[in-house]
Amino acid sequence: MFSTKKAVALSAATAILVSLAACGGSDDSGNSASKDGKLSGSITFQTWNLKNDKYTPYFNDLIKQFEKENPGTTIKWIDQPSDGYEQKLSADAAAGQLPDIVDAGASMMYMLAKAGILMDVSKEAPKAAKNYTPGGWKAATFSGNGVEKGVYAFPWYVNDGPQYYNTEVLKKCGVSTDKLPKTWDEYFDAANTLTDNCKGDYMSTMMANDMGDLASAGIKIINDDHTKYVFNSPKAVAFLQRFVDLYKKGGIPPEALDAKWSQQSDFFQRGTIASMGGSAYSADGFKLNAPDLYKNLAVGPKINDTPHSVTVGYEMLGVNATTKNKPLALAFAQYVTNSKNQLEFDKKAAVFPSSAGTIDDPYFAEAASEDSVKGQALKITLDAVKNGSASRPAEFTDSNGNDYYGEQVAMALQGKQTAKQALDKAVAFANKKLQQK
Amino acid sequence: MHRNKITVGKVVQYTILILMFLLLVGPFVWEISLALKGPGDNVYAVPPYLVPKTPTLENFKQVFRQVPIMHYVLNTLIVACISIVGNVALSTMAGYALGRLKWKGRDTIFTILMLTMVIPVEGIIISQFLIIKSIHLQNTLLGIALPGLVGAINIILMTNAFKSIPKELEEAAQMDGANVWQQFFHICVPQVKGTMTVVGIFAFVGAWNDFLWPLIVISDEKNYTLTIGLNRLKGMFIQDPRLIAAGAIVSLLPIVIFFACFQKYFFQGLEQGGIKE
Repeated sequence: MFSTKKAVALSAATAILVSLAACGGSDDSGNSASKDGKLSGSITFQTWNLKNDKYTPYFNDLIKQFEKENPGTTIKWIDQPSDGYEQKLSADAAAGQLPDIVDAGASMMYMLAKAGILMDVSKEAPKAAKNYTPGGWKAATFSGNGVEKGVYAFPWYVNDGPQYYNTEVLKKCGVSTDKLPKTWDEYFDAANTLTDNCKGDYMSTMMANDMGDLASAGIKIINDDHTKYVFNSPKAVAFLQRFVDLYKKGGIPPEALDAKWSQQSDFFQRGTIASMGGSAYSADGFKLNAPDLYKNLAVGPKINDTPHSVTVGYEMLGVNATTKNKPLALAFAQYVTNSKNQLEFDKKAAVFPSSAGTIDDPYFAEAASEDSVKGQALKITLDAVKNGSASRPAEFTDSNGNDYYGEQVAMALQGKQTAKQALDKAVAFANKKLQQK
Repeated sequence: MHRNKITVGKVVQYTILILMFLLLVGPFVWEISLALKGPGDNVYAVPPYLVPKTPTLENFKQVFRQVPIMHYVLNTLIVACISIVGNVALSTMAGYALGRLKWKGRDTIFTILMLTMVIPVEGIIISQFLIIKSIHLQNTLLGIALPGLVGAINIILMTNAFKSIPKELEEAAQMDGANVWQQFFHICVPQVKGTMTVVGIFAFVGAWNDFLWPLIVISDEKNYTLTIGLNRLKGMFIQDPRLIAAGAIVSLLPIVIFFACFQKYFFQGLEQGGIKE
């Protein structure tokens, strides 16, 4: 099938070839951009859905401060709305008008890196690595399948979250609220108690249709050199089978089968499900939109068989490889992601930093000690972010495996195929996509 | 008179009509109710309720404060006007050529037009953007309107409308010495005014609702259309459904007004296309 991404990859590759031919041989890499002399000129800096009452003042101040410290520079800030961001990036990349700095998550960055449009910042700013946490730096490192090994973005804000529970549903269905589940065994115990005692109430929408679920059960997703997916191991089959059984028992709402992940919070706020995996900031949303639920809210850690969280999500800033003002773009991208500025942003957005050492700032410990649901959520997330890592390979984008995988899992839950068939098919599909250039 | 008698058939008819009404209007009413709900309301209450407990206009104020609505409405109107004029003028002319004139390759052209309708926009959007960029229209309102200047569906509508005009009418004009242009303007166009209105309405609604294409063409928010501008109301981290509902109502109002003004022509036009000799 004709896909947008393929078109982008092709067109962008052509654009790169042309531009390489045009300026081939110029090798001024290796300089720590912010230190070699004076910065000047202007660049465009693009964020994703961060221009609103809450964050606009932060970015305006940030840019003003930078321009003051570096007279003669101009940063043009643009922001893209929430929907259609991937298409927008694709089109801009294909047309050769990607902004100098772009904000995106790991899989969109991978797509751009594969199209050859992102700068390898480990080469262009070799000293930067020590300024970021190893987890963040690793999340921006891509290699294999046509991507030369490198770090294709500066890590920016980080997120993860706890597991939220509706204690009203738990109590009604005989599940103890004193000891919330921590491991998958405990989770299934609780889910079985719930379905035994209540008909029509569901545990959650979790059904192993997310790579994070598999990884948190200690299942290996992809081999070490990222050339082959391996999530159809016997362990994975057994894990998926537990969800198949739970679905049959009535522990997972059928509407969830074709729902997007974001819809789980709708289910949760309606009181349909007893539990959902959320973010540190979800509690604020519950308070605003579902005050009744908020009264009965409890938080526990994400369900995990691994010692640390494997569902950390990294947002990053990529630098356009064809930027006309490389020193300024590199300098500003690092300025936004430096410790001080990340901390300021984290305070505003209730997210977490990827800059080295920032997370030890007393602010986080203090916020996490607050005796509220939000405080507890922050505490759990803080721990997850400190020690955790990302598990969904950046290569496993929606169109390159994730969507297809979700469909296969849904069919397995409905009993249309076995758990093994579902995983085998999804692995075969994703492997084929992986090998496509 | 048996006309006023209540028959079983009528009861069934009206029951179905009322059900359809609820089905179509229900979501709209829900959206209005959601937009008027204040912070004290449980948006996800079970069972849901319509009358807000803490009614407020704050959501609408927020929408107007966060998004320069009037500016975006103006942008959208400009795009919509270009689209209406283009579609009405061009598809009327094309429809006349395809529906009433005889020329070589006419059927082939008609088939090609039909085929273009099945190509999904997502598949061609990047190449379309590259074309717009190559003529330096990216980031302009004209760039948004240009690819939608004439739609295949509208040409087909107009073709059918022209085909349904009786031959005798034109033959009579021919006898009186009217040339093709005169036949077109004075004889045929007045017969298809209704369908032209339909085309205009389709063009307006299409231009008003389009999201992906304007998003890709426009990088500067000064040139945003309403749909992209209102997408800002979706928070990155926390969603407020009330705000989104208020934004949806604001963007819907002009369409409702537009339709209310032209509904007479709308139904007239739809019927006209279907009349066979």
